Amino acid sequence: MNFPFIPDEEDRIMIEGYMEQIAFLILALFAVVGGLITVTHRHPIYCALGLILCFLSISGFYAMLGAPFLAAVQVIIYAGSIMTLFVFVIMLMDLTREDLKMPPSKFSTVVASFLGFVLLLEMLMIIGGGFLTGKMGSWTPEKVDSVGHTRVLAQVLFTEYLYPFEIISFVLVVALVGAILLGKKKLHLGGKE
Amino acid sequence: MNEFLIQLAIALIKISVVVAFGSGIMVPVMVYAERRVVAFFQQRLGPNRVGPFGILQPFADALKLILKEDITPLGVDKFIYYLAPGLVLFFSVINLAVIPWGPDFQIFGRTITLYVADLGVGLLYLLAVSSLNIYGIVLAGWSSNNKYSLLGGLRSSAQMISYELSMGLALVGLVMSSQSLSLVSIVNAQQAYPFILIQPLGFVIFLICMVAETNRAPFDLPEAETELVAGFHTEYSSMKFAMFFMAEYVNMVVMSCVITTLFLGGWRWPFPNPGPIIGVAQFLGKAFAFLFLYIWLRATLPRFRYDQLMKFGWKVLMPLGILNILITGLIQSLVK
Repeated sequence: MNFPFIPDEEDRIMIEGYMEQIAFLILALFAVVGGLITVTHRHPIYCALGLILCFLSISGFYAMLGAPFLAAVQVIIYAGSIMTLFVFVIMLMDLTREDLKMPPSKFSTVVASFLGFVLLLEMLMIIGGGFLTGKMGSWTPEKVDSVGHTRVLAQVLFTEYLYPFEIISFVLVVALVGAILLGKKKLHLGGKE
Repeated sequence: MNEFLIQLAIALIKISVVVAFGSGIMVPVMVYAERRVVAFFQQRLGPNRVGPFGILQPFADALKLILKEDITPLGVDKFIYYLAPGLVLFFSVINLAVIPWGPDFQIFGRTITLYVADLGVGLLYLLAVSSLNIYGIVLAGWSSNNKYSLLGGLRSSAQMISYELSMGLALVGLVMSSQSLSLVSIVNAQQAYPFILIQPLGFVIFLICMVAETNRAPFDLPEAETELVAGFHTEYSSMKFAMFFMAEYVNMVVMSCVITTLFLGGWRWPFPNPGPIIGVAQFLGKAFAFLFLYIWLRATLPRFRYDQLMKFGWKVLMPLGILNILITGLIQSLVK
């Protein structure tokens, strides 16, 4: 290698490959550390922050996979809105130091360990069974790049998947109305209690 | 010379210039302008002792803030207490990355673009970053172990979530007109006329939301002095307080640049094909007009009450945003 090192075109491609790998490793590290903090930390605020870190790294993966729209939406919806609500609620819980030192109940430990074990088995089966690469769809990366990722997503969502999309939005509205109803202390249905 | 290294150097220079402009130049300018302009509004003189016309006042302020004792109160959650001001400033500054400052130009036979990054989803990036911006404030309020701070943090998050929604709705109409989420394409789409002409309602909604998003008067409830001492940053001192202060000004600069880019044609209006210097001047001129508007509002309007604020956000701005989308859709389908 010559010194000082001056990269040419071939090196550039190599360097970009390395950079992608490094970015992946950093994001993967953050995602795993975030996940670990979420399940192991005693304080719920730190758990929430760990989960946010995890969500942000996953959004980074989406961006690296050429899905910038998904990456942005992941941040806006999960990290930005849902977790804000979580943090909001946790902040208002007014936890004392004694609350935090209390050991978790035996029942939840047993159930959580069992479910975690099942999840681990499933993951091993998927990785071992070679199910990771699914069926090839009609939208190849080249085709998506030629039209634009967001445009493709919108077109598919509002033509092919219109009914599922509308049904999901309807279900969400129902959930919203239900939550408001449950939140009201007194119900006045038909004017009588 | 080598192509890869040159590209890297150009990118680094652009990032440094933008960050230096946003936080290093604009913050002192805004601190001075705010104190001076508000003073004139109130028939006072304002700072006029440090340097000619007092223009060195912000540097004296900065020196004072750096040299002050950095107090960490008892009972705070140290990690989050230290993290919060950094988060707030970080999420304010990275917004500057997608703003197109001026036209491309040629120098030494290569084309230089006057933006750091042209993201395909630039608008969503702005919304995503501003939704993350809430955390710094909320966590600062919570970790301070102080009731006033907690209330300030809660108020601010509730306010930002409510107004972000209307802001997003106002932007939907704009995207329907521009057919793109990239800020560079949005500026290019305004070559003939700025979008304020076809999206007047969207402009008004965005203008109100941008003041609310930056927690400025008349929407400065998170730091309402009479009720909450100083809100979420009551317990912060020295440079950590200064970081909140800087973040507020950087946010104002970002929002002024964004509204200029989206609704007033960015660097393409009133002259659609300017050179780089006139282009940047056009852009900054409009951005400065919005920064003046911020100060003007602060000096003129009294603060909202909290329930008024929430009612206004959810019952006025949000329906107006939906109406704007409907009108835009109707007109577009009629024109086609």
